[in-house]
Amino acid sequence: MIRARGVGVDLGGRRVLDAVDVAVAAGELVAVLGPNGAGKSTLARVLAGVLVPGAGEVVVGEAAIGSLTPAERARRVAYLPQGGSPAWPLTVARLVGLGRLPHLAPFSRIGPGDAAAIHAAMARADVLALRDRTVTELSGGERARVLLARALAVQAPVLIADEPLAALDPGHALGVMTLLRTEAARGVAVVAVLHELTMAARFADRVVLLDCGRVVADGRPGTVLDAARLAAVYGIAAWHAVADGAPLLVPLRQVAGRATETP
Amino acid sequence: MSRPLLLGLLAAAAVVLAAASLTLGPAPLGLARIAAVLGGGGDRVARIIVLELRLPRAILGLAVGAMLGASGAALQGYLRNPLAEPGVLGASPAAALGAVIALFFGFAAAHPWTLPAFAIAGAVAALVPLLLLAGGSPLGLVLAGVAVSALAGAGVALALNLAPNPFALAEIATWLMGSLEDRSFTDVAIALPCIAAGLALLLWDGRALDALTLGDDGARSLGVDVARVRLRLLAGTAIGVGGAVAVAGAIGFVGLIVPHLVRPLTDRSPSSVLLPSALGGAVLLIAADIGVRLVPSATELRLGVVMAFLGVPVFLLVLRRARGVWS
Repeated sequence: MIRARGVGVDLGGRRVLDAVDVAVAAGELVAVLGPNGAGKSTLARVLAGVLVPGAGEVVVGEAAIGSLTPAERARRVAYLPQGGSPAWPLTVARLVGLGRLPHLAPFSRIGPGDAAAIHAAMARADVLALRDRTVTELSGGERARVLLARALAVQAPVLIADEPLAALDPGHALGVMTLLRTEAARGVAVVAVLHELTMAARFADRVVLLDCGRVVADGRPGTVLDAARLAAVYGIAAWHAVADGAPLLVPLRQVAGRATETP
Repeated sequence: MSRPLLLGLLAAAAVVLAAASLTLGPAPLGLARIAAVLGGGGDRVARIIVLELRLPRAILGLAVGAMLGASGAALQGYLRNPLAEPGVLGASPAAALGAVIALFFGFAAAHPWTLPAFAIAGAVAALVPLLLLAGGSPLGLVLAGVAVSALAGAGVALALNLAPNPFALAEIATWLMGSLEDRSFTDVAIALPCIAAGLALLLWDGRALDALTLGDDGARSLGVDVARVRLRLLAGTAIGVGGAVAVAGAIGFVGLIVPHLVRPLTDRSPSSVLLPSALGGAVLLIAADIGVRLVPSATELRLGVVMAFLGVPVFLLVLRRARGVWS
């Protein structure tokens, strides 16, 4: 559904992404992992089409993302930026409604179809009860779900979520991962940038492990997240176990073996 | 408050105040004579006073206020900064500097269009450094604007220092505090096209401003071309505010406070604040211009002065009620 080919990005004279290939099929939930500064958010921005890569290309469906009009691209790829706090004290329903902007003809109003999409997005993200609250007055966890609902309201076949679990308590984090899983089951190609190894291991179909702007591994979580790679990429030793039929990964301590140091 | 009700009330207030503005002036005219003129008849003296002296002043009050209010709302929306107003980006100080240069070097005497042309050129010139530096964030734009503003202010202060005679000094002061005294239809012909073009550019991007609530990347992911929005916004502000300053001088504060006054009456999204801010600016400016004429004084008070006395208390009350929202 969405594919990055040979993507390279330089920011401020530094190579942030280098010859990155990633493909995500419809119905698949792919977690992008890697240490701070590995290039995860840059990859998310490139996939979302908000950052044009210096090298390589991104293809959505059959079309190169650069060949789409901004509105077409926006209807095909929904993007949840990292840690955003809305600039104005809008109501939750109004903020979620921003997700319908790519569907509106100029100077037309929100139609019944848009209203239904907004309602459905709020229901799936479990924020219907908050609909008349002011977003700037919500707790961090509530706000994160509202912003996710905004991305769902786009109803795009591709969803890119950059650190959707930041600032969430364990219960809400599980809720968001379950929601992303459900979106994938509905046929959406979902990419989530994550720091939570266990969440990635338990919920993702596939894990893309980035380090220093390169893909060092791409495959099933159980295969990719082995002890050698965790030591080489994160510089950690972790406790592996299986619970409820899915892997558990708990970081135990830092170890020598981190091959390269990112600034 | 529902949007049609808000817009209706503001428009009604603007019409009522504009009508009131027509009744004010040094020559006493009865309401009956004014009504007769507005009905298409009336005696010759009344026609000249109302149509050639008072009507341009009322039209300019509405138009200049609308432009300043709308540009404040648009800039606050784009910069996601409740402190933004045309002065912050240097547009109005640079336009005032243009006007002062025209006066100071005597260009203004050459032709009635010279001074406004200088004012508009000043506002547009102020944009150049902003556009050159605008590759980055809204914050970078504000910082560059503050620098341009300071430079324009220094230029005006220099002109005050070097002013050849007290009359020049008084005239320059007018451009700094704003006035609509003795404006004619020539001024209307200068300002209205600029203001209409400026308003059209600013009102175009309401939806993009809404999307920017989610940040630059969030807006881009919703299909907004942020660079083009910025260009339209800066151009609209420069042309419109340049035209407004060209006929009325630099009137501070309207652009800052009007969006804050109307925002609580809307859903607080940038697009829904734009049009009410234009109408609210028109109402506030024409009210201030009425105030200027009601206060008995030897020379007419400056608009900026009355604006501040009228607007600041209301502004502070609104801020008091909005405590917490800006946390």
